[in-house]
Amino acid sequence: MSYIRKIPNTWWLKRKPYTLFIVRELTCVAVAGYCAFLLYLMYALGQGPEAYSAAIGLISSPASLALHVVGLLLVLYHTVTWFNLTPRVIVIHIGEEQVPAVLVAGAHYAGWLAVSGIVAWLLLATGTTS
Amino acid sequence: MAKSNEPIFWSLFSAGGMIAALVLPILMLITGFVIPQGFAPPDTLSYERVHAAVAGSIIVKLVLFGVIALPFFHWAHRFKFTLVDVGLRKISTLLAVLCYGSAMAATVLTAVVLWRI
Repeated sequence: MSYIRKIPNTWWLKRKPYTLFIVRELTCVAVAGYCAFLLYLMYALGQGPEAYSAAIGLISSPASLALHVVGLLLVLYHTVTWFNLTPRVIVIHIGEEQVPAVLVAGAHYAGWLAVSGIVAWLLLATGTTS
Repeated sequence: MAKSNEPIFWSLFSAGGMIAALVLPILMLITGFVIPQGFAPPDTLSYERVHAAVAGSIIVKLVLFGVIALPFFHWAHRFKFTLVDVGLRKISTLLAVLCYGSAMAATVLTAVVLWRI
């Protein structure tokens, strides 16, 4: 017979770190929601100009603004917690020396900056005057 | 030891989490604020421009496939374990089938949608 200690389902409300853990895990809902929106945009793009214009027009609505504010906060929380965990997952040695955690996380933040710059440049700066 | 699918799903979770962390904030900033608030030219995401960029390029389609499909596996992993953690341990297997099944369905859908553009 094994004995399993009964834990109430509200355990994650008892302490702040537990709650933040659940918040971190639930950022995935914002991630999936935004990717579903991107998928819908691509579907509309394949349907033709009218369908696409209607779909992209949604981003000008107040509901879209509200969803983007909440979604962006959650996704930023995902990004920061994800990069801060990278030194625990990626352990690099150069010779005998272990690369310091701050460098591993820092490299990811630098990569984030670079990717953001490239995406912004591709979408906003190239050929928009045509 | 029994064979496990765990490493495959963990790799997909990890790849999806990394893509979401790197790419989604800037995309959300652009579609949520930069374009609606008029900080970018109005034709930035016009049909002509986006269609020309996507339809003609297998590389753009592959990048979009990765950006859209992989984060669904990130969602599947976290959502399943969160539900298990808050008390649904008894239906853990069902949750895994539903979550990873949805992610797989979304992946196939993404491939078909992008292929047809």
